[in-house]
Amino acid sequence: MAVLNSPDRSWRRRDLKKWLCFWIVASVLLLSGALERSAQAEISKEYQIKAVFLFNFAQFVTWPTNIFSDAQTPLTIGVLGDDPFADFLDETVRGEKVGGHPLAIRRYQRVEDIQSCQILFISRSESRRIKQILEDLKGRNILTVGDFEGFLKNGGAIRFVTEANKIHFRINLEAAKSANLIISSKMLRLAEIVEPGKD
Amino acid sequence: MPMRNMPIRRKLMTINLLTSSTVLLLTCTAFITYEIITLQRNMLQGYATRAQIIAANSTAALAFQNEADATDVLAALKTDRRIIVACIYNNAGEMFAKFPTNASIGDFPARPDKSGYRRGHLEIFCPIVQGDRSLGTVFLQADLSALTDRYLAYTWLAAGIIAGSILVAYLLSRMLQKQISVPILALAETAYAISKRRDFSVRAVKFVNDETGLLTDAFNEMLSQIQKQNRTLMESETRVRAVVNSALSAVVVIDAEGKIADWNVRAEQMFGWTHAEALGRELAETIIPPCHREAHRRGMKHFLASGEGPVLNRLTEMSALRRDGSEFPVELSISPMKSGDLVAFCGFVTDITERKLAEAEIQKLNNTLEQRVVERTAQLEAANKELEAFSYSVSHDLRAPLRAIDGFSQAVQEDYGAQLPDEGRRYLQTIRAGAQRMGVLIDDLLAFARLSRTPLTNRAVKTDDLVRDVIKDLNPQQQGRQIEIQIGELPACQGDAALLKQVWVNLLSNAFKYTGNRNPAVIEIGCKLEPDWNVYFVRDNGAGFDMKYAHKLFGVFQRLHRADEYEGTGVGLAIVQRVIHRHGGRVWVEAALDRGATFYFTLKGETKT
Repeated sequence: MAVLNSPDRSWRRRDLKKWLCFWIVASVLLLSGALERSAQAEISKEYQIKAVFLFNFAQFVTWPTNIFSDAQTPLTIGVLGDDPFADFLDETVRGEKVGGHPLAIRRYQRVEDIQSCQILFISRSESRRIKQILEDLKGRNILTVGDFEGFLKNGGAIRFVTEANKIHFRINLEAAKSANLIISSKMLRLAEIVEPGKD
Repeated sequence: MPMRNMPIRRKLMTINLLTSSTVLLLTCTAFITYEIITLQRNMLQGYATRAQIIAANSTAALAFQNEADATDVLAALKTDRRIIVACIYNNAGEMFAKFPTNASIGDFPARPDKSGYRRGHLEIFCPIVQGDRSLGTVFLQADLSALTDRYLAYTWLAAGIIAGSILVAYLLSRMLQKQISVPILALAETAYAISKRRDFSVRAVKFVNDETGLLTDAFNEMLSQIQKQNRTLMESETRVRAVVNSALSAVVVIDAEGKIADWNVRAEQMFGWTHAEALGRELAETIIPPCHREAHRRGMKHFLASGEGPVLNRLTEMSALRRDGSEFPVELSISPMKSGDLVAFCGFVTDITERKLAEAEIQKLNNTLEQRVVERTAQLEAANKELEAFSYSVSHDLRAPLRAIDGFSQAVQEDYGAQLPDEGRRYLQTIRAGAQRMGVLIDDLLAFARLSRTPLTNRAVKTDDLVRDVIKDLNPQQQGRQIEIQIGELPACQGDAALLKQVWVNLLSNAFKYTGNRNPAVIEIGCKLEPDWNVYFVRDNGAGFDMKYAHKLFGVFQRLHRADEYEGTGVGLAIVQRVIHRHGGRVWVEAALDRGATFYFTLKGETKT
């Protein structure tokens, strides 16, 4: 029962509810075109998984201890640009703790807004400015995550790729190291390590 | 065979083997149990550790839902062939990855459970935790062949150890049990040999100084005592046998059933059966004539039932049977002998054939003798009567001439006395005195003779009255004398009153007469009672006499004193004696010269009717 009552499980139930809502909405919008509806469903499922992955990164990555002033200081996951997660991300981290720290979600429109942030998902909407954004974030202990082409080449740390309908991630170890982050070997085993300057 | 009936050798071995094998079995069981428990714990721990490693390695795979990686991690288990299946459940309890990949879903528990030995397998569940977050569960299922292999190995090992130990214990106890069993068995063998051969001179050999040694000593001591008792018993038996055989009587012992149990040499001679032949035969059939057999059997039955037997413990005469069928008289005494519950009878039988013959002879002689006595008595009586008749007639006839002598002497005296000289007259006086004296003698003689002829009457006589009458009658003799008469108690007697009066007259007048020169004269009359007789006596303090003449006193005309001293004819005491004798009594006298005399006579007391 403990398993059933776990946050993970409730997340799942809510997830199903959303799926139900989605399907009702989809049915209502049936006339507006089946293809469009299908693409939207694919996208939302993709971001559900990515939201969970973002949360999981918090567990397998170690930040320098001095960035948290105390145990209550939240570990912040930020989203820069247009938020593709809707509220999946909030749902995922609600009530969770990593290393004793609560989790917080922040949404930023500009790089300058970023104060204390440990994981930063950079949305596709920022792909044209990515080079500048990553340049701005250099030297900060932030694990940068993106899901578009050229993200790693421009100095991002982790990029989601979808292959054979499965979501993987690629890691630029140089970027992680320059951000002073240690990524668990367990996570590295699942990742595709990318040479610097490649994507 | 039950344990208690086993030979001691086997018993000892069985005890040893049972003890050692039980101890071994318990030890092995404890050891194996401990080993198995340890093994199970170690196995559980080992697989738990392995499951933890899998769990640690599969956190990322679960977190990032990488089934391939999880499957890879699980695949590492293939090096352990004892792991049958393994899987990883996600946090929802759904299967995420499995090993081997081709395992069917039915091989796994539907949900994570607790670790433990289940369904013949070891099942391990280990939570997968990243940080403090639970991600899922690892499941391992290992077969227990390691355990069963080990069980088997232990069982074989234990069986081997036990078998070997029992073999060693068997050999050891086979060797060591001799310490106990050999002396005991030797003792038992000796005892058996002794009881079989009845040779009590054999002694058991003492091997050791422990309890069995004590037992051997005690056994030997017992044997010595038995031997000694046997010897004593044998000696006593021989002695008794010799006594029995030397007895002049036949000794026959029978048991309660009437069977002959003993038979001495004399019995062999008497009845013609040897000892060996007689033993076990029924007594009645052997020596009792057919006419007495039934009585004998009844008598025995009666004794066994009541304990009484009229013929027991006393001499009985009866006839006995020889082997040849002839009968002969025996004197028999039977004594019952009781020893414990056994009753036997011992009979002493004497052949009295000789005695019976002698008795018959004596009887015959007696009969002849009596006949002869009767004849002689008759002859004697006849002779006596003849003699008495003769003496009576002689006395009677003597009186006539005497009367003539006296009468004519008187006539001469009276008619011619004056013409005769004094001397002549004196002679005539002497002739007359002599003739008169002779007449008295003849009268006495006649009276005495008459005593024998007159028949006795036999009545009660009041002696007391009789004596007083006699004293009164004798009054003249007492005139002018001082006489003290003491009359004691005089019981009545049985007899002829007239004759007895004569006795008293004679005795008392003698007493008066012979105390003539005594003053005072003392005459004592009395009676002493004896069982069958009254002993009357008359005692005086008169002249008495010398006892050496006592035998003459009761003869006819026998006198101890001169006639001129004390007058008398010498017939009185003879009459006393004759009367008393005729009454069956006795007369005797005790006297001393000048010291008086005591006359005793006995008469039958008054017959009580």
